[in-house]
Amino acid sequence: MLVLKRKAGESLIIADNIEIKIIEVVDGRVKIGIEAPKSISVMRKEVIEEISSENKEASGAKNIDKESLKKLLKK
Amino acid sequence: MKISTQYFGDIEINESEIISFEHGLLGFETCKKFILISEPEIFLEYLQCIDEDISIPVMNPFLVKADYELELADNIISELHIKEEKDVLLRTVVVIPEDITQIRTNLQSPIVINTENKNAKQIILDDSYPIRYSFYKKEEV
Repeated sequence: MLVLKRKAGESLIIADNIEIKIIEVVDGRVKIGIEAPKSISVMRKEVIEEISSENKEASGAKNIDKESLKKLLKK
Repeated sequence: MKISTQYFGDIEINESEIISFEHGLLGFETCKKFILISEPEIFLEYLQCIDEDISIPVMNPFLVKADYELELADNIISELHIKEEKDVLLRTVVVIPEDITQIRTNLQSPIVINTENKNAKQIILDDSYPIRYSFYKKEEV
């Protein structure tokens, strides 16, 4: 992993069109501004991990009680 | 072609039914080809992977959230080559725990299927809809 030191107000440029700016550092929290084309998706990693874990949990469904599902929602 | 599955046994599938997820699904990045299998009599459907024996229960989100609404970003529209709104099919992943009262669906991260060319992607919306939307006895009309 490339590790760089930056101060508030400084930026990084990734490829030609993505800018990551350190806006503020207060009490161990870093406020980051990201300027990138709309087609670049920017996500908090924990959101991706949560969705990934929901998908995995969904695929692990066992012994599904179809009778109670029938009652739950009409098709 | 024929595939073997744990839940549905050996099933014969038609190549034209195959739905392609170019980047796989989150957590299942190597599963890129799926078919959608309907469950008779209940609201569930299954995305059955044909690369590996993995199946994921999904549902029509409008059954639990009649006013569910989202705007597809331009890059998704172009990635899936969506030409018309009517070609878009939305499904959301359903988690069915052993305690059925905890059943939930992921409204924040719907699966968008272009029924015209069978390209699909699980997209991530902002957090106006929850990842865990419980709907036991919460049917909306």
